Amino acid sequence: MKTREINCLLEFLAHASHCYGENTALQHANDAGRDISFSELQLQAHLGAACLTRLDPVEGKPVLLLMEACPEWAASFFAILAAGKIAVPLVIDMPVEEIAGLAAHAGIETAILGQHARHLTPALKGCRTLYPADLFKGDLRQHNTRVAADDTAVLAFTSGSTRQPRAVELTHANLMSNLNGLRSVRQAGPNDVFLSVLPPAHLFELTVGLLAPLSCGATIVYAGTHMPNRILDYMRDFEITHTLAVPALVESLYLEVLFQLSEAEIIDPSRGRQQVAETARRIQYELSQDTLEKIRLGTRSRFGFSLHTLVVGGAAIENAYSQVLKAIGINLELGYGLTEASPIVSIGLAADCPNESVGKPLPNIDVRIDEGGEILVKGRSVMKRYFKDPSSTHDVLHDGWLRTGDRGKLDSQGFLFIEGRIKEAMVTRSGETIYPDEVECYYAHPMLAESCVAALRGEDGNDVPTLFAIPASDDISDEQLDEVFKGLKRNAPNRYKVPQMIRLNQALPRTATGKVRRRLVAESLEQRNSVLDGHSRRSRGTRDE
Amino acid sequence: MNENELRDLLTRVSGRDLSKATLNDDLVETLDLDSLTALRMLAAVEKYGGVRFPDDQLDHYRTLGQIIDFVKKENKS
Repeated sequence: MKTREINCLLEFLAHASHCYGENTALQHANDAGRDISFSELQLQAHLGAACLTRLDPVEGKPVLLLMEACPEWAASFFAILAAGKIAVPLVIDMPVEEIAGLAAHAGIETAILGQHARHLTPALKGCRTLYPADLFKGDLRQHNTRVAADDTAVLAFTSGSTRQPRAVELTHANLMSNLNGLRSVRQAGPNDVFLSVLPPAHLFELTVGLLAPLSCGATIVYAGTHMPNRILDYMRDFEITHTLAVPALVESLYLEVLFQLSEAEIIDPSRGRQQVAETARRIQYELSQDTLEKIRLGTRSRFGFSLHTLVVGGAAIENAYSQVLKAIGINLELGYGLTEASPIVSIGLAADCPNESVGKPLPNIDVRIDEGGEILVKGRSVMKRYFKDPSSTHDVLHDGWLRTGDRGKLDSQGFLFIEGRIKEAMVTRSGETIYPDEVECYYAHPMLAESCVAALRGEDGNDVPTLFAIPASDDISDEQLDEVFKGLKRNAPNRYKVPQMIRLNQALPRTATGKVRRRLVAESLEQRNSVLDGHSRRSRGTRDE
Repeated sequence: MNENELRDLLTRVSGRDLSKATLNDDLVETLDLDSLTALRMLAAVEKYGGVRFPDDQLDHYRTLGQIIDFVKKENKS
């Protein structure tokens, strides 16, 4: 399918429907009755659009999409766009009050909810709420939506903080440009099957896990679970070829390799879990081809012989994983991106990339490093602006260049490397972006004189959100502080459970205006630790996850 | 699956000592587990207990007591 000239998502859908018609576009792994073909997806989008237009004919209004990952999510997404409105997708595991805050900020009047989001209805007081059953029935009244390429298609929230909600406005052209850039370097086909395990409310899943497969006629199977056993079953049963993954899924596959190594008595599980670097070394230097073939067959009989590409996005991953997975026939695709860039900036197969690189920039994206080491990005996929936030927009967009807030370098061959973060956002191992001010409100306690949350760099390269706590009195013991931390963590929403705490005995450094200098807190600790132990960058403290 | 069998199974899967965990302790917090290990423990219970935890309520099964109750209830029905 040619998408190079297409810069509107509705035209994209019409073209996909025209090219792939009755092929299955979307499937639910656990509910065969919910399969949707490309034609049906197009039909449902227009039925949904007619319904939304009947309820409110004004175009350009935001519509909240609060639904678990399923075929109806995609149909609802396109229905919103086909009605000339703006999709505001949110993940359903957010606290009710946070969803209420974000919905208010976006000016939501209409929300589409999935069956697993019914409990969130209290967050939407005063809003019109619809379910897929309401949306996709009725007549297909002709509606004359006119959507331009530069119209906003998606409002993507990157911060759930109710005090400082931040949403990125992405146009049809932004998203299509990213998709076209991606397709110019990677191609799947109608025989490919993608397993969707991440929420499509995340831009990475939306672009790479939904739009990209639809563009080439591939089928998407929604896993609808986080259970590793079921995900591996689905990989085998649905003959999955591609999956977008966070490190936990990569770890699941790695554990299957370890299981086979233990069955072959190559490792002894009673001696503890073998580190991935050691496994990679043994695979490379110690195991015979026959043994490797046995391991490959053993693992493949578990999750099938079709899977060949794992795309890891949103989080860093230890390089040795790619060597282990390569041995069983799975390519690890790495990348770098951010919501503000729709989101992919660079991509590369781990086997082709230098160690710790995140691949090369997409051909239609310019990347340069400024004098301060910050990665700047330019191209049509760069966002229109931050929603209702001209000041933040002005801070990051200059002459079309987007300041990413990440520090990096480009080598002589054009490979991009991420070296750290300039902004305070933390990207966790699960690929979520979290801002300190979202988290800190859950960690206030009378026994703490002051505290802040900042990221320490984990061994795998991801951020480890860390609570830096200064007790209200020197008499408070480490054990008491630990109990306070555990209690606060227990009460915090899952997304904001900070894995570790570090006790500080001096006041937090602040700017002249009194703002805590969080990065300085983390950096000074990391520097001190690197002096203490020579090579390790892992912090010391209470680790509680 | 009785309590002792469950403790043995989860000890094998997690590699942690469950001997001091009470029926009401939150296993993720008490045993310092990451989310994948917690899910692998439930997967093991599914395999050996012949049950299936509801995918949208996986967070609800965080103590030995909750897991035992669920397995009992499922096996009765």
